[in-house]
Amino acid sequence: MDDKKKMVSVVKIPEEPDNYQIRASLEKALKLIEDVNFHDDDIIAIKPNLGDLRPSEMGCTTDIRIIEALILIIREYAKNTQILIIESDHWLATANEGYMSLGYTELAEKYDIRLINITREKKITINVDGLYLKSIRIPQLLQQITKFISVAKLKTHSQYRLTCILKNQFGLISSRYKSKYHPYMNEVLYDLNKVFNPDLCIVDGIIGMEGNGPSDGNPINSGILICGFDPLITDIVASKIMGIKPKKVPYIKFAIKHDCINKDEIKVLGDAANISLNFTFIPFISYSLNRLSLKMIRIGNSTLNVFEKLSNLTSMLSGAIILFSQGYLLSPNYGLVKKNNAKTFLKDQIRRIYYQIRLKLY
Amino acid sequence: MRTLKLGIIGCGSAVEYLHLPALQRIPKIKVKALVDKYQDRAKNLSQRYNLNAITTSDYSELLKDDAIDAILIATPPDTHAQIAIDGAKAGKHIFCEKPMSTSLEDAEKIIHTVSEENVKFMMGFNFRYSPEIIRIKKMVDSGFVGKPMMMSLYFLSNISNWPSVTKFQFNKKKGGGVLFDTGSHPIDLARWIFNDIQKVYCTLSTSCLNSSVDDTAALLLETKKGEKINIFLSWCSKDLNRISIIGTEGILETETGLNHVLAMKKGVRMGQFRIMIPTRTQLPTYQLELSNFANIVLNNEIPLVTGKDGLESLKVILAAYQSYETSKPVIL
Repeated sequence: MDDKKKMVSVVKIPEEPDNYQIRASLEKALKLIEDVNFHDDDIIAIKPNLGDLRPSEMGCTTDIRIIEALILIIREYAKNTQILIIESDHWLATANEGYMSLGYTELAEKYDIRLINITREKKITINVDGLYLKSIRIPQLLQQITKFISVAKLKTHSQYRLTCILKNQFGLISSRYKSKYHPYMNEVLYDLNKVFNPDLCIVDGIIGMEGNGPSDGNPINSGILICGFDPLITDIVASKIMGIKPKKVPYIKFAIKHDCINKDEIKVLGDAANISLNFTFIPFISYSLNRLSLKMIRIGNSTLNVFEKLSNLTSMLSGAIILFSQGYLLSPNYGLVKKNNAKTFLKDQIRRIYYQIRLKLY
Repeated sequence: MRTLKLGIIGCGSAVEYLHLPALQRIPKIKVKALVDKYQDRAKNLSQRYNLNAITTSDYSELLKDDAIDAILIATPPDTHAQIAIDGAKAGKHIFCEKPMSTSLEDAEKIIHTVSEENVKFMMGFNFRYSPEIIRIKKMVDSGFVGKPMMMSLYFLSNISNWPSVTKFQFNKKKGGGVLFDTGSHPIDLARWIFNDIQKVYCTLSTSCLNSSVDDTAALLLETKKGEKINIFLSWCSKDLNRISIIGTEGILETETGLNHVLAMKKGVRMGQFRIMIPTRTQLPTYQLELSNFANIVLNNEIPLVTGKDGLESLKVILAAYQSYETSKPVIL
């Protein structure tokens, strides 16, 4: 990983800031990491956290004033840049409802930007071959963007301890009902962040959320903005600031292990670089039970997979008996199999199923 | 419903396991006659598939039968020309399995005769009906890959799985060898998707068979527009038919039976990930091509695959053998 990606800036922001103060803080945070690089021919996608429509002052959703400040900064460098706000439907609300209720419709008119509902856009399927996601449906227009900026909220999460930049990309899964991915969040977030790979990460910590996040917690005047390039590095810093050990966040621990990150190489800059807040959390027993519940779904799904493979084996045995009884079999994978090749065919089939079971359980 | 009355000449394994199961599923084709050197084989098939067909060991009897509209030629390749010419002169429309024949002269005679006798002639290049390959062709034609530059084709199989009765595949004079037997398909696809072939270089070997014919071949072709194609053929592998197309703006890849095409576009975000473009699951290609043949005859449609395609494919095969023998590229 190059050194630039290991830089994170943390700046203080006054309590109850106005638009100018927010913009000034954001500019300061961006200057610290030495990156502001926008061009007229850029197509920039910004992903805020619109969650379940609770306003930003409740600690739930990205403060729209940060988005506005970001747009103004971008347009200062490149007047004609195309800017898109992207979000998907959520089980509690659609992206369009989020845009309407949180002021994005007016923002879009004011600054001539586009509001994109990923769930409703024309999609293509890309072959990801990730740790969990083998393929993912993405809006075709996302292939045209030149920069992707993830703007997350600083919040606790009752199942994962923290939700910040890495988790913000969960909202790029186009389907509305995403709960099936929850038991596999470590692998899913790892895959999503490899696919979407933000160019810039901004954390809205003006008012964060503590307690029973990500929706039902309590607002906390955290008074900071965090900027970075790498989603994992940014989340590690955010986590520490919240008073949560990064390795206590399951998907951060998972990603650190997979990417071999050395936390000592992270460079934190800014006037709040050493800030330490103490976000409260839900009782440990509640958190543990939430984790256990997810684990149980994983075990259930693995068991189902084994039965699926056993079902394939049973079906194969049926084919084998047909092969012996009528002397030949037209197999979808092997074409014509004659009885005198039955032994090779059977051995191969059993070997395939065995390896499928082994690889899936591993 | 009007039906096409078909006579099949050559009742080997291809007819037994591929053509007849397909024909049974096409109501507009009725198999009325089966011809084989060994008449018992023809009789067995007629009983097994419940065809109630006339069986004979002499195809000229079939050609005299006015009730037969068309013939399907599935004999060893060295016999295709004579049967096709006789069939055309008898006014029968012709479906000919690949390769067209074993000599250019014979192939040209077939084309000349079918034209003179005004009968329909279609080659059995069934891969042109594969939904994955049809999708790739459409995408290349629509410019997805930009200017096409290169194509790579793998056509592999395990010959020991194929229950050949006469074993003509292992007799070079009869049109045996992997290049004659399997090479027709990828060569035809290369011409169909790109352009006519101008230059041919080939190496052959016998890798796994206890035989004198080639079972492994590698071809390097160049089209008239400078596109490069490499083709790998083998009888010593598992079944796999794979195609990749590389152009100035993108790459396409697929395998037959995959039900999707993988595409990569240059210069887009997330371009390192292949886009999966699903293709419609369709009927088996043998069923599609024979159904198409029925439409060509019954409705006077234009064949997708003609005698010229068979001839051009054969030219490349013969040039490939020549290249192997001289160790030099051959210019067509």
